[in-house]
Amino acid sequence: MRRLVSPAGRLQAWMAARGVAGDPRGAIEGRLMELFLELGPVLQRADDLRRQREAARSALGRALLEPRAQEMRDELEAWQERLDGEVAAHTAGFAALERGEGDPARVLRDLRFLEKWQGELRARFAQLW
Amino acid sequence: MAETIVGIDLGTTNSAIGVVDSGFPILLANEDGRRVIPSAVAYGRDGELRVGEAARRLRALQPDRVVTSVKRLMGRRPGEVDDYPLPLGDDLSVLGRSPEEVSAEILRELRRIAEWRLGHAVEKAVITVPAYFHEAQRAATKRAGELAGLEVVRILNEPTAAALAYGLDRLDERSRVAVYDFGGGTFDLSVLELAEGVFQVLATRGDTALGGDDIDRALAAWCLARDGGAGIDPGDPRVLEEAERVKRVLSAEESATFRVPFYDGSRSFEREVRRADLERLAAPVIERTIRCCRQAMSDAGVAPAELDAVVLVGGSTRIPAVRVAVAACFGREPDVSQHPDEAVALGAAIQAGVMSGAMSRLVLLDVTPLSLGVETFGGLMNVLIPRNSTIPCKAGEMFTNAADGQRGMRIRVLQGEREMARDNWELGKFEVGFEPAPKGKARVGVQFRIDENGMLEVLARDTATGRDSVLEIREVAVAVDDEAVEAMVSESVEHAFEDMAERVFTEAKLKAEELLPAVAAVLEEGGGGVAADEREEIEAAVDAVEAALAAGEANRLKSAVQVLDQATEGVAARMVERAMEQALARKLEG
Ligand SMILES: Nc1ncnc2c1ncn2[C@@H]1O[C@H](COP(=O)(O)OP(=O)(O)OP(=O)(O)O)[C@@H](O)[C@H]1O
Ligand SMILES: [Mg+2]
Repeated sequence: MRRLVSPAGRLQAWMAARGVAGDPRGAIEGRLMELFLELGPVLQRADDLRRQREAARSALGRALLEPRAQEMRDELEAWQERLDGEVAAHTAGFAALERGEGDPARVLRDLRFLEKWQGELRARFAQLW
Repeated sequence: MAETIVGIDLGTTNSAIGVVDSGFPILLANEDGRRVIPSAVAYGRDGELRVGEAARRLRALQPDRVVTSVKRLMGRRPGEVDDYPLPLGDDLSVLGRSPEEVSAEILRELRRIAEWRLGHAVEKAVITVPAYFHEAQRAATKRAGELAGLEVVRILNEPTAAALAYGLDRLDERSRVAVYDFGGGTFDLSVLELAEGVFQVLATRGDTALGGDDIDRALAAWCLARDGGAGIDPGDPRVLEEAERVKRVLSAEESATFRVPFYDGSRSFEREVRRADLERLAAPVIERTIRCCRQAMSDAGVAPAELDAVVLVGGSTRIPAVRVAVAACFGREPDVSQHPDEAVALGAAIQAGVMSGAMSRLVLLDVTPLSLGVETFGGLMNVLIPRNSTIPCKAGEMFTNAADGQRGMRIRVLQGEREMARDNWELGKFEVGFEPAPKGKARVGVQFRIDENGMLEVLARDTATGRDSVLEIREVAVAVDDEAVEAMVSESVEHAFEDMAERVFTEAKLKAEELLPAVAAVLEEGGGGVAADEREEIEAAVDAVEAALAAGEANRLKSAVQVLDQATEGVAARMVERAMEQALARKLEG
């Protein structure tokens, strides 16, 4: 039941039901690759900031980091929106897939990655509170 | 007559020199008849240099002019040494001298004693080091010898030396022994096999920052933690000396009195210490030695029952609780046939005798204590020579160009047992040059050789010409990046002392170092809504922290830092609020 909540899970269930084969590994959309290459360093900066906050020993030390923490939260939020948009766009294509247009395995791979990065973003966001 | 080579035990606390005379190893005593001298060097206010007992005595009068335990600084990097009794320079110099220079004074004195006893010049020496010393620490020891005008013909591991002394009377036996060497500043455990004059080290483990010194520090802090001892600095050399005295007394007696007379000119401090108190304080230190024992035994693949003896050496093995712990770990009474202060120097003399030809029948096969490797992709350590390999030994590795026309490659050489390169000790870097060639086609073979001193040589072989060249390993720049220094410091904070007072000071100091610049920045920026009276309160708190830092007093610093933390809480809260408001404003705009 639970895996159907995620769009990738739904797509995979649909493929299994229809007997649609497809390699779960392999290339993803080039545009998404670019997107993730941009996102990697953002997560790294979030991790650095979290480490610094954890290492701070005084209220003032943490307060000095607060403006950066706010900006980082905004940035992570913006990224979450971007990824949500990407997932929505992919999900919107499900109808076309049902009509037999497009490569479901490719869409599945894209979604898998998108969801993985969404998870990473959520974790960073939670750590910065 | 064969030329003389002397053997030297350059210890953290005590040092000694010996030689083989008419087939027997002996230690050479100084004018006072002492075979072992304190490893103390005094640069007195009168400008006079004193070494040994005279230097140690001066410590009571001029504690800030007497260097002891300099071995702890040898081959170390800034940030690695904590709570040294004297202030250290950025390069770990003490009283303006490098650790090698100070050690050289001790070696010069030992050399003088030997020349006086022997009646002729001495130019060559075997010097012992803890088995667990890494490359840089060995190199520093060798340099100290050279500064003292000695050619260091061999660097010998201390527990191996002790085993030589132990094994000399048992040359016709086959036996397996463990040597437990617990001195003033270092601990080593080696497992050896002795067979017809061949001494083969099977495994060795240790800790180069674990010794009787740690127990002294814990005891001093504990004694002063009560009954009005708060005003006394537990790191004061005189206090540490008193703690050491009490510790020794407690090896024989059930209780002793710790005294600091007239510490502020008029008041004196006294506290009764029972042996049980000391044992409680020493327990974590002893437990760490026992952990090394278990690891070494497992490395050697030897069960305790397969040992013929567990030989104790080093002054700290006089502590009854140490003997009990060793007996429990190995399931047998330890062998105390060796003189704890002299066995290592005697063994050094034996090795020196073997090398000069004054003594034969002995072959020594020692091992390298730490794995040697290079960094590979992803920051992992690729082990080339595993720890406990018999030395001398060598291993080769082929390096290829990863891109077309790449001219060279920088390689980091590491020593240690951790998976990640960054967790190990970096010996240095070297450059391998490539001929211009397509990717993967240029190849250079590199050979790593660890010689009989446990020191590394790196040879590069050009596969085209077959010519070897010695690669120069560049010492790692002293400026390790901040994060690494921080990690080293916090690691040593975690491991170097179990003791509360020390921890309190370090913690408080770190917090002060964070707060002071932060406060300066906030006050500078003015604004921030710092009211005049608030500002006054903060400034007073800053002064108190700075004074406590300068005085080096743990509890005073801790409370001063707390006051500063509280005084700045209001400002901090307002800063957080402001940051949130600004973020909200940005969102509303955007
Ligand atoms: N009777 C005793 N009881 C407890 N500890 C003792 C006793 N005698 C000496 N020690 C301790 O032994 C240590 C010195 O031992 P030793 O001379 O073997 O060390 P070292 O060779 O100078 O140091 P290292 O081998 O670590 O470089 C000191 O910490 C000293 O306090
Ligand atoms: Mg020793």
